[in-house]
Amino acid sequence: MAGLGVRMPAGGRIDRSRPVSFEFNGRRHQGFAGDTVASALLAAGERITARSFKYHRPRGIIGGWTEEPGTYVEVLGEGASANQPATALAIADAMRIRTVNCWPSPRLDLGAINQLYAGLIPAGFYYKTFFSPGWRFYEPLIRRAAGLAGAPAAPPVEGRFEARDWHCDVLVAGGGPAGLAAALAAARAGARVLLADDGPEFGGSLLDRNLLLDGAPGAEWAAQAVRELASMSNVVLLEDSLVWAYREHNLILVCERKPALRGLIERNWRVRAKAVVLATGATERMILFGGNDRPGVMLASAVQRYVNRHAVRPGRRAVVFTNNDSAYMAAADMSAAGIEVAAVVDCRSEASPAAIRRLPDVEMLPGRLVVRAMGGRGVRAVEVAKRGGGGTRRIQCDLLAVSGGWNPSVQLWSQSRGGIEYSADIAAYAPAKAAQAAVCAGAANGAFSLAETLAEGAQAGARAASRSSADARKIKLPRVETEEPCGIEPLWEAHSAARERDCFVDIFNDVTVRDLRIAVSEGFGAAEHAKRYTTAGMGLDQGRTGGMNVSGSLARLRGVDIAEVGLTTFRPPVAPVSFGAVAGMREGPLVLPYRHTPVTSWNIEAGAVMYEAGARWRRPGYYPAAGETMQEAVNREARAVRNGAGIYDGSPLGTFEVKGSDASRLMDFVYTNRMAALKVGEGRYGVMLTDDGLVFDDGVCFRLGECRFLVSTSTANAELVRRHLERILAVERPDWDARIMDLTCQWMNATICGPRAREVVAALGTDIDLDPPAFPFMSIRDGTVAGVPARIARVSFTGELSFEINVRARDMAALWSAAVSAGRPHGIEPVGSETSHVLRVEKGFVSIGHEVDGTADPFDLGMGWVMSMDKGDFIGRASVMIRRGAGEPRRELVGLLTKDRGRMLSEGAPLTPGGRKEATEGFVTASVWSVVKERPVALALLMDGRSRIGGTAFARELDEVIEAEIVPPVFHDPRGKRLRS
Amino acid sequence: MAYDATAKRIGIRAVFDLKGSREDVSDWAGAALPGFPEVPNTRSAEGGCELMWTGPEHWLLCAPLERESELLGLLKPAEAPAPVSVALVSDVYEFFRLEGPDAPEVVSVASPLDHRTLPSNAATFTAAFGQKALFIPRGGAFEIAVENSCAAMFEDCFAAAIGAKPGAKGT
Repeated sequence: MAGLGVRMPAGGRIDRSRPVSFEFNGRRHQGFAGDTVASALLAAGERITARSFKYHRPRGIIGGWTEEPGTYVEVLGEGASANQPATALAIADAMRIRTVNCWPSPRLDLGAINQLYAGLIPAGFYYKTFFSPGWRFYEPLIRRAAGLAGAPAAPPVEGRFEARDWHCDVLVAGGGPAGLAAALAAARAGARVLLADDGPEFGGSLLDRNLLLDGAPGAEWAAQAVRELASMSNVVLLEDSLVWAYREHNLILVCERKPALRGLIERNWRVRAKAVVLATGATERMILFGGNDRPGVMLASAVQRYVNRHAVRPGRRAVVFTNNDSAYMAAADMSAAGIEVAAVVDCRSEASPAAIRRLPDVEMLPGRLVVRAMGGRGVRAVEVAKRGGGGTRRIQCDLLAVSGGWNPSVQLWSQSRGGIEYSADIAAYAPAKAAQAAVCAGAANGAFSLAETLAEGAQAGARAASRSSADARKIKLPRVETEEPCGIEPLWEAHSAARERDCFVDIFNDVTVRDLRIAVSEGFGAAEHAKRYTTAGMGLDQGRTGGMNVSGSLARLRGVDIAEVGLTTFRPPVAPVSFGAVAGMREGPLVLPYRHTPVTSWNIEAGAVMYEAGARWRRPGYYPAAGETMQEAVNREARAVRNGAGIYDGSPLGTFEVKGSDASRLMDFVYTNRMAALKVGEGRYGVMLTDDGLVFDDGVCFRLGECRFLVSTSTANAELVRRHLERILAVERPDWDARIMDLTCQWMNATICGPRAREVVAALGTDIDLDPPAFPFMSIRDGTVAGVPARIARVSFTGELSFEINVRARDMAALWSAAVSAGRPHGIEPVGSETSHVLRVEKGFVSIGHEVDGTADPFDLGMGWVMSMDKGDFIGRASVMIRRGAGEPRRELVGLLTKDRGRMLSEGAPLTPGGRKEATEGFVTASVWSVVKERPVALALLMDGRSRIGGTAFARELDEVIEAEIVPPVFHDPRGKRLRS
Repeated sequence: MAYDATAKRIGIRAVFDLKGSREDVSDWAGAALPGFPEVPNTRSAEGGCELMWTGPEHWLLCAPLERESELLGLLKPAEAPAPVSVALVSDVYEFFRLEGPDAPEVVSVASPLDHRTLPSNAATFTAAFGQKALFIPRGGAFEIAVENSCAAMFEDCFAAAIGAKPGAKGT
């Protein structure tokens, strides 16, 4: 029934000098700047604008803003975005839009076949069906049939998103009368104020209704207030900006949809506010009657908005159905706009005289209900019945404007964890006790008259600015000359039992009263349960227009008072927000942080394959020569280390200096072995345990002085070890004198390893005596190397002779290049993480994330020797002893050699008895091709592993079982002669 | 570029980490230090050196890099008594200078710090682009020191925050 809509010849807040052309479902339309998609479609007479989520029923425009439960659209092309309410999306030139969830169009939608078997698919039907062959089979089909728009296929062609932080004294959410009054009061008191409103201009309801303040239109007062606020340096005004989340500690998230900055698509503000004023207004709600979702059934306030703001008549002949006085003012505006108001159907026995006086020529039907809206593709008539029963009367109309009362918009208040209680005075849930420094004002607080709203706003603003309410009274407020009454009588349902199936409590998700009845009958009658069972309130509109009716229906069905039912918790976002705004500039390479060493550029130029290798460090995996595979490159690097020399960048290892008169006590407390006995210049391999006695980290500890130690940790756990040490000193041993200095980024290290490492270091030039007696394994020396200050440690993670040369970061790149040059005659090769992995597996050294997986203690790893039981207490000791005292079998570190030398085990492969599909008895922790064994070797944690050496383990791979001989977990130089050489 | 601001990497400075009670640190290193700042998260300056109070019993001494050797000789980290920790950390921090009319806007993108209320002599650790950073306002400009390992990422982040396309350093 196209052609109903009419653009009024004058009025509205649209710019008629700026026509805007756009495409909706392939058809060209024209509107004006200031139009939303909804207002432009109404003006064009598009009645069916969407199809419903589940049954694909025809739907039209219902609301005026983000409360819209019916029409959501997808924007195509550049600036594509999904699932936007048509009522809040401004039209733009050349914009292309299509309706979500229908094919091929809302007028002719093949999915409408669902209506034929709607009775078979009530709420929760999927919980009871689709057992065979399984839910996974049906899920994609259902998601295709019922769903929303997909994410845009490509990022925006131009522009970027931004997320920023902000701080203020007072954040005011909502720029209607209460919000403007609050912002004025707070700003005049000198507070730093941020005022955000999701509308295209400030003013809120003052722009939708014909209200007079001080004898002038309310919009003029709003404009004057905005001018004053804009002139103040302590105020930030954010128009077209949705306050979408209220988090802990007054962290408020605001999405600015049209930032003025060139190139910016959207900007998300993370605001820390000392105080928050929620002036978010109220949302009109629907009443439940048969066919309350038909195109042409609209909220009365929405019709009023389209008439006054957009100069659009959504229908020609209207019936108004209400339970309160506010709809009379809407009806008066409709009438003034040229819509024939056929009747006002009011469930109350009488409305206020002032309300009735607004409509002198309209038929009043008090004490009556609209029980049914008729018309398949749009309202053609309504059936009206006396409240309490009796015959029905049919009234022809093409528009039904409904007002079921007003819900304070408490979504943000609820997110702040503020209390919500039912108020009989307004027949709605209203804010109660605050949980954070926040206050609701105006309609959001249940104050529906304009005079109350302004006064509450001013008072809230003054208080939020830490001023007294007396200061608030000094603020001169405008005189309200067109006061509107509200006078509500609760009415949730106006239908007969026979109409429960087409009586929608949640229009967005197609939830009917019948669905609620099923939920209650199956024991899901609590508000939160019913929500999850039926999905009522889970749509993009978050049940704004229907949530109260869900509570009302549940109260009736359960036979309890509505106050007992309560509301469900609201969660962010209060309306759809783009992911781009949330992510801000975190895109592409900036999604995750990354860390480089001074050698990173050299590595990239050398053709290394780079990736993250713990703690966000990007490291070389391997250095492939031309035409080499990864395995060939790794083999070449590993052979260089075993036979000549290799060099790897150990800079990411954690490095900390621990100093204080109790530093040695601290070292003995965190390491399992005795560090206090170290002499200056000596070091020791050490293991740290968690409180429950499991290996947390391993590394090396050197004594630099009587009260001074150098702690080297794994790369991945560097920050965790620092926190661990700081926590012990702050919480467990606050009386100890010790301090932690993080030197990880001060000292970079190039480790030269291999049988010819000593010759390479000597060739670099150093004043440190490298001879083994003068510089033995596990010792540290200061001096110079290649002409720069250096500290060399003799440690080894490869099983070979190694010199870890630590230099200042500024010297690292030069040292590296010099070492590569000096090592060339000795066959030196740069070594990546993959090769380091091979070398340590060959040697049987454990690694964080592999053998150290959070379940093993030192005994499990064959390192009982590292537990110094003759020293005092240390972290994890008691737990280890208790666990081992139980005598239970444990998974123990072993080596594995596949019986078929050509087969390689997968890292992580489970080991099961006989390879059967049974509970695992361990897993493969590491598996590599060994250059010293010329075959695959692996490490594993295996139940009672050490006692099973010589036996067979069975690894379950994806498609087969591989047998492997259980062997000791050291494949190279078991006596450690090479690393001590 | 969208914002009228520039972020330049200005390299390293002589920086020493000082930990211990104020009395002990003063006794050991006082001759090399400016007067101690009286307010946490602020700095004092004297003779080209700045002393920043960055945490409980924690200070940073900053000076031009050419004074590093001289200060190292005065502070003698290896010889400091047990109650005092002194460490050379010049290489830990890479300094950036952010300036231009829109520099405060870029800071708002980079950091949750309420930089608009900071005193002019502030020096405070905070988060920038999700990482730890030392934040020093200087007139209308800002110096931001970050761990050298993050410097390449910060270059990319500043470029993105200002409105230029991010570089490829992270790939």
